[in-house]
Amino acid sequence: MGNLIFLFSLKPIVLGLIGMAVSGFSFPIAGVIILNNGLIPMRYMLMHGVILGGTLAIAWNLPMVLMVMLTNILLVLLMMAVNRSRSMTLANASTAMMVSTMGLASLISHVLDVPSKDTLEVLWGSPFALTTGDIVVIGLLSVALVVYCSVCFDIICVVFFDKDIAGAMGLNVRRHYTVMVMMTALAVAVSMKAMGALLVDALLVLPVLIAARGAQGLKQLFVRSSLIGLALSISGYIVALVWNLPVSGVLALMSAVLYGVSSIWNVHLKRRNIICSRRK
Amino acid sequence: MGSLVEIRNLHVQYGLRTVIDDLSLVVRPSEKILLSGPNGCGKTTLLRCMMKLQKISGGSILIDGGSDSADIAYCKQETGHSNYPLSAREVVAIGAMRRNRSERREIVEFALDQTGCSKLAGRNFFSLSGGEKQRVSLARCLAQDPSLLLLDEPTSFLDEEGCDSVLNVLNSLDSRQMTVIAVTHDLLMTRRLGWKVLRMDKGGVQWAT
Repeated sequence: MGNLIFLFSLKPIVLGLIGMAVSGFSFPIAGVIILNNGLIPMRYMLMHGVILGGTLAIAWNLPMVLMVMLTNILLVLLMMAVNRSRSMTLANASTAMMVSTMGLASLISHVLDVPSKDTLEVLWGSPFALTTGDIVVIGLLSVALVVYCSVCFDIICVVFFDKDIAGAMGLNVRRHYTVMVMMTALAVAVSMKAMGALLVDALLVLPVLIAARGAQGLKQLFVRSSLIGLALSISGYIVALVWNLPVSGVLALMSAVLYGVSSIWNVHLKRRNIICSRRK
Repeated sequence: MGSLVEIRNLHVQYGLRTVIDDLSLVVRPSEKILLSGPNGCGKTTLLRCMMKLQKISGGSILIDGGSDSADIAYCKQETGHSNYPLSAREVVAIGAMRRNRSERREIVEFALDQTGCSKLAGRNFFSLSGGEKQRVSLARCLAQDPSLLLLDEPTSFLDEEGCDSVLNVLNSLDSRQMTVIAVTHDLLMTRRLGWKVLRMDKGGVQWAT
């Protein structure tokens, strides 16, 4: 306990906790957007965009988070242009782009002699490496996500429900879709430094999958996902500190275990409901 | 009496295939119309053109005199496929999204009540049966209170009970001012509603007697 109190007197530990708590609360909102809009292939592309952006940042000695955010914004703009031209489906275009970004990252790291160990750090990440500037970026993006989802909740509802119906109601579906995808791209980029490119799903998607068990509405899904994300990120962070383990790995495993438990519980509830309805 | 929908010499093509060729139609305010015809004759395409969801190759469509603020509600054959929840109340609230907060709750509850969906309000829309989904979708359209309601085969895929409950809701629209155009293959629907029937074939339309 004394050791833990000492650890929390250290600035990187406190910054890490703030970063994890804020992103744990708000980034599952991006997860809801990813899952409802079927953006899983695009999310993979964004994770690879993170690797490309990270490699560029290391190669040119530029701020990592900024570079990764810029790379992902460019990739999203490119994807939206491809999607508008209707020459390829979003999933196929994402796959093509994903392979291209990795190819480019590999070439850049070879040509510009980027140390492979540094590139690997992009894959795993650590919340202890978060700076005050990173926390500000995470905070701003979190506020943007929460405000957008609160103010435009109805529009989000109709876009998730049916894009044709949204169009028939005279809504600018493309504009809102672009805003949602941009926010997702930024959330993936910003999560990278804390969680690493490979484990961002533990922060973005898994809390939503857990919350979706038994949720009956979108508002409920948003609130539950955020609360589960907050609880998981804080508890995962503390468990990692106490046992001296990597935070991202602990958080990913805890999320996966909780998802498994929620699945079993869900099956149990369904069986109980069937039995109850038969008795009636 | 003026017209709410005015279609002149409409021409729609998918690639090289002509789906609608030289179609003209005038629909007056408050009119209720059933649009029938064989598969692939362009009924759904016509609805999509009215909502500007489908590009037209020629001719013109004027809704409410060409006003940009024309209020159209659309109820699809099958709406929404998602593994993630959206409650029936949230779906109905979509229709009332342009109303202020104080009016909204009342409108949503009224629409749910009118369509017999009050008990479904808290349930996940995607877990409802076909008939329940269709009634909730109609409640959404009623909450919107549009000048033009477009229905695309509202009774397809429904069992007898589901079909009956949807037709009851559609029957209640007779007392409303809104204009309704419903695409259907359902003879029962044609008989039960007693609305004017417009037959569409090879891109043209004619009133059925």
